[in-house]
Amino acid sequence: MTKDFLKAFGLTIRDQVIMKNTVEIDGLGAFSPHHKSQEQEKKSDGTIVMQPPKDSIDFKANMGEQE
Amino acid sequence: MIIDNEKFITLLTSNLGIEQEKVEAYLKELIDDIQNAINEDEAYEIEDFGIFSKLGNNILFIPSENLETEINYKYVGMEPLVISAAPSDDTGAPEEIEDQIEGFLDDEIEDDIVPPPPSSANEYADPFAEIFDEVENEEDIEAAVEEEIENETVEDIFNAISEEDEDEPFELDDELAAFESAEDESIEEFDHTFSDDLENDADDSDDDMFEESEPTSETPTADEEEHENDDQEQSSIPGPENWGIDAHKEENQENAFSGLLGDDTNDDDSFDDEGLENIFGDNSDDVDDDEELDFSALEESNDTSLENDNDQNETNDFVPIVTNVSTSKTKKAGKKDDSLDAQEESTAKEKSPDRKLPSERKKASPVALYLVLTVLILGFAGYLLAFFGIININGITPQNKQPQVAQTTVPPPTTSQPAVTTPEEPEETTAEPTNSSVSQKEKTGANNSSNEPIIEENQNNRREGLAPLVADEKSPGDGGRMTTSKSTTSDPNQAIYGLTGSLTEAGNNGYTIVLYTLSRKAGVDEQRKMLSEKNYRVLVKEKSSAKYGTLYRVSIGQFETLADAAVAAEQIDKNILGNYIITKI
Repeated sequence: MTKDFLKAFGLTIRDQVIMKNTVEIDGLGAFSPHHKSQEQEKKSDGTIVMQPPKDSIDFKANMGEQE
Repeated sequence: MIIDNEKFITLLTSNLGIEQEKVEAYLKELIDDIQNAINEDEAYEIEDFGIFSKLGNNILFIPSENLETEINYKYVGMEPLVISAAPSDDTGAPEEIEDQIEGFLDDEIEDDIVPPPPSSANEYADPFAEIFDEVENEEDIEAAVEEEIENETVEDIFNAISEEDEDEPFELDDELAAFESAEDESIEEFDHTFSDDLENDADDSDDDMFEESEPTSETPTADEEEHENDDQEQSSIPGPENWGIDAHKEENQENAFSGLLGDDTNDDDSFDDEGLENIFGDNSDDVDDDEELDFSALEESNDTSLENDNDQNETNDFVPIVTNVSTSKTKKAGKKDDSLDAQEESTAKEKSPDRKLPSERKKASPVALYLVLTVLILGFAGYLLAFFGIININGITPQNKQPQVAQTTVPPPTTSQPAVTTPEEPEETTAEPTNSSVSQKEKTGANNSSNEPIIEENQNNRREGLAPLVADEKSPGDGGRMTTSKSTTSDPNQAIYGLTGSLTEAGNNGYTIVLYTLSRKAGVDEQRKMLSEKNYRVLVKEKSSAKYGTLYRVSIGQFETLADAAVAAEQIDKNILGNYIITKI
């Protein structure tokens, strides 16, 4: 296992998640995209702010399954 | 879309450029390393990707900052937007607020000031709190004022008002002074009677109107004084005629406001008793109302003066009317000047809509005029063009201007010319030189049928006075038989093209000037002879026509180009040329 492989591993998963695809790896889990839309938030000091939308990556482990 | 393990390995293989088996081996190794680390409660980090860790029974993946940024590339840089700021008053702990309140209470400040209530952190301050505080203060003030009113005596009020009157800057004229004196007298009389009546009343009748006021014995005097004060105020106020402003006013405006002051139509500067009564007509009405309400017992005991006053008021019932200077509303009760003004205004109004119409018409009229003018100009231009034969319009273009297909020769030969065709004869006898413009082209055909339309068209054009047409005819072999004069030679010195001389065979591929088309062979021979004597190159083209039989087209000259033919045509005697066309041989 080389650094190139790890780098390619990360880039491949990143690219697929950016394309809104879910990547399932046997023995590890599933990487899926998650979108959080904008929402209002009321802070403790009373100010109301509008949080911008955000895309993130979710991971669901599934290490029991393996080929 | 879900990328399963196989697809993922395929992608890795394509990205790495190595064998798939190696990729699978590397992937398995990675997974095993991660699992071992998690089983040992350790975290496994992949550089620039994230960290796999275990939290209880859950396996977490914490993405690196780079990965988060790259995945959230659409919204990178967006910051939270503040919609509403926190209220500034809602600061400080409740304890501090209580201390402030105590401080307020301890200070020697008026009791009316109420410290701000402690507000919660989440709620904004009541903006109307201050107003309610002010209202509460006003209530106290009103109560104090009422007490003062109760304590005030009538004399104090009168004195105060009289002082105000003295302070007025108005300068009274003599006439106004006379008015005042008369007014005062009338007021005194009125008040005297009024006060007498009031004194005879019961005390309870006053309670409805003057509950808070002094005892009944005082109310009449107070009323009297109030009326007097009102009168004095009105008296102090100069009438409209005496105001300096009126001098700059227009008549209409002056009368417009006269209703407010109860002016009579007589425009007298001095006010009569009737004017006074008009001014105080409302008071009398009020008095009547009061009598109805409170002084019903006094109705019988009222003097006739009151009744007379009422009657006069009814006759000269003054109804304050605010006249609108801009409108033509007239006043009531026989005010003649206002009626005249109203008439003037009405007439002005009637004129105004009319005035609008011409302006509106002016705006619309130019457009219509322009349209009519353009139509006329275009029509006249078309008529001129048709008249001069430029355009062929049936009924307008003179017949002599139409291109003559068949025509007789100049006046001497006309008598010997037989009738060519019935539609052509009258036109031939009146042959006249016309413009030799070669502006139109005929449609040609290789067949005789195609030549017939050409002839017919030329006839029609001649009738309509059109210019001669250029016939793009084909060689004689196609649609006609060319007969040349006997003077055709093959002299090498003879120019191939030309107007005069003898015909050449080489020149038959050019253009010729067609003078006329004849139907009789005898006439053709005569014309040929005549033209040959004048040394013209004469060409006769024979054509058969289903309608007219055999026709002979007589033409002169052989020219290489159309322009040459046109230039040569100008050199030909007009008597010979007549109506001609230039056509291809």
